[in-house]
Amino acid sequence: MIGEVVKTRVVRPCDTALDLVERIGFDAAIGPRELGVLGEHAAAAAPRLWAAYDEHWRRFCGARLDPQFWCLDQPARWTGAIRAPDGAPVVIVGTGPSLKTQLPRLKAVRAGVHLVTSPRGAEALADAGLAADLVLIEHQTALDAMFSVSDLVHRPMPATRRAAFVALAPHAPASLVAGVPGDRLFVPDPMPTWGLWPATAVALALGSGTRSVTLVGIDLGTRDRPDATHAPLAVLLSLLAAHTDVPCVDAGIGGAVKPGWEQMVGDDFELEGAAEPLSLAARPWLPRSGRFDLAVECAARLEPLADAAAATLAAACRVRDGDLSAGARNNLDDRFEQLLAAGNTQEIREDVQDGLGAAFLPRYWRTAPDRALGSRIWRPAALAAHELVRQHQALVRRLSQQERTP
Amino acid sequence: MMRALHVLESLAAGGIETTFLNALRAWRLEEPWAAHDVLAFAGGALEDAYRACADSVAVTAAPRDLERAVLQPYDVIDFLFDRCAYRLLPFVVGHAPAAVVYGKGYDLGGRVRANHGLAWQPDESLLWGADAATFTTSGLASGYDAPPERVEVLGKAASVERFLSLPPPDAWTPPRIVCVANLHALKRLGDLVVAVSRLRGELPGVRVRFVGADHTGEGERLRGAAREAGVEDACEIVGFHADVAGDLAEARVFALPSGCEGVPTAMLEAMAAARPVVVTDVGHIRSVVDDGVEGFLVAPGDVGALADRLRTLLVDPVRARAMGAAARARARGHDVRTVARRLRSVLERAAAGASRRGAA
Repeated sequence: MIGEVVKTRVVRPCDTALDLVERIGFDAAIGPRELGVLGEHAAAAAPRLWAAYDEHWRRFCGARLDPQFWCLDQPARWTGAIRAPDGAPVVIVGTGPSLKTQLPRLKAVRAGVHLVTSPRGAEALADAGLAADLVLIEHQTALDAMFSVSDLVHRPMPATRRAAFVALAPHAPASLVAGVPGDRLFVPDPMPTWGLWPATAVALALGSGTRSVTLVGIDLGTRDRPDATHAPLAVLLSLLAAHTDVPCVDAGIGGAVKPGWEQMVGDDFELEGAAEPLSLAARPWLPRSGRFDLAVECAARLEPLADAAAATLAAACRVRDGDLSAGARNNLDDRFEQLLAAGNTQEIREDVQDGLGAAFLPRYWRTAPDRALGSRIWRPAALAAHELVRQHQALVRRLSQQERTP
Repeated sequence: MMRALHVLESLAAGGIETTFLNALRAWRLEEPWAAHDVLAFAGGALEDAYRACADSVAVTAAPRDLERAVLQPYDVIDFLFDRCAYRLLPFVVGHAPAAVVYGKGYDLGGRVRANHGLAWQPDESLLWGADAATFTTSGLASGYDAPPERVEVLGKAASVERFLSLPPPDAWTPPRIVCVANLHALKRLGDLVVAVSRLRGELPGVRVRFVGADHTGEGERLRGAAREAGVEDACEIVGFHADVAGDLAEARVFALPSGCEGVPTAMLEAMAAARPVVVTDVGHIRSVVDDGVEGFLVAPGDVGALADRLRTLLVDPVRARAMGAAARARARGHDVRTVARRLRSVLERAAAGASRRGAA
């Protein structure tokens, strides 16, 4: 084992399917046995959820990866869960074609429902004169988040600032919430996510006490031609619907069928008067200094692993550059094996994933490279080792910058 | 004969998808040197065209299908996109004996890096796991930490052949501006509307035609801006069509006021059509346009400069023609057939290198 691990994750009870979605989404478990003790409902949901996680995410969704260390700049001061006090319906609004069709209906029922959407969805609603109750900012990867940041330079998204609440993933870029008043901004906890915002929004809604969840503009293709790229989202939405008693309705007329989601057939939502505003059961989030301290500890713990990765990278480059001697190849094999073996320790996995935001070695911990590659093993070794080395350097650099400018 | 797999994110009618399709077509005209399979995570408008010139086309996003596909006995696997490389390349380099070539162009990652200096570390690591890394321009390559001996600069490719025979603009060409770009806020097309409104007094016949797909409702916003500026009749928004030769033939100058670009294909096509360009100095446009030679560079958002440079070209046909000729000469070097030959060479060398190492 490389390095001494002292950090342990605080594991909450896992009673419901939503708890389990969150726990799996941490990517902490390599196999279902590592999910820990499950309550009755969570245990019932586990086989299908794990099968979907294995099939569509290959046991690593990377939903919490923060390779840019944006968490350290996160402006949110609050964490907690959203509540629908009177159980009013929640409508999850995407920007698919059915939104346009359903906008008149949405306007008509606005007072009786809670609108939950993305920043783009909030803009689309604003164009129709509607304000969102909750805007969720979450990206599948940091690359997508960066694109949003660059997009923002050219297209400000004022509707997000006008939302009653803005929930953002702990590692969302701070610039995306510039101008959002601090009392409306929070990091969801629990955050049942596998990295796909509509499913996360549904999960947050299901946990809010609502009496129904409706999708609008989350079309995922058409009825005749479901979009294959959205298959993971469709599966996750279906599993969320399958493991709740809350009615789940799809108002995306013409969109792909989502098993478990009842297709809306009537003209209207079921309403009981005006909805009370959403509320936030909030508590202070870990302050910036606390996040900084955790990152410092993580960087220190990972130093031996980073050194081992640097040696692996050098060994991989030697083979890549043509040294195919037995010595060079054995050296590479041994060193890479050491990195792969580090994945046997859950705490190291958490540090590498949560602390460094590294993706490639974690994937090899789950789908080990093929030993039959022979000398070509330099390729996965270089890929994984390079990322680990550079991410560790980047974290140390980032922390030293923060030290200089508190 | 080699067997190559080319992995794309989609077969939609985007820049790299179109360019690579033209590279495949160019290879088809040569003596066969490889069987070309195409794997895309999503389909799109170019699917039939790809099926017509690739040996096989598979469209799937299911991880297990993807894994099965890349484990076929390929000599080389060529990744053309950041997102699909991020998802699939780690698996490929961990399980396939094929050589891997990772292409970096002005798509998501490259564009973000070029325009905003945001770096995403993991995609540099992907370069370290590849047998070769291709870049569109040396400017883009210099922004990455990649093993230098594995870096290949291909040059930005465009299918310019059909534009090279268009007659250059002359004194009888109407004072028309053409802008070919997706209708998106990033492109700052509203700046061009304002510029046209400023030119209107001096050049009552000035017109601008916007050609491009509209996925975000930007066309409606643009129409609104034109109404507001009182130049609705001078702004034509025609939507997407594949062949823009007719649009270029009727214009004296090409303009692109975008805030975010790599090296736009549409600009190279306009240059090949001997149209001088007035474009923003963003991304790596400077690598193919020298200010005052093939056209003019202006700062993004500087509507005054945009209007001024357009005026220069619209009122001075002789200068416009000279700059158009320079633009055409420059565009010839970016012919997709030339770039396809360079890419072929990279794929062949990577496959040979991987094969040597495998044999050892």
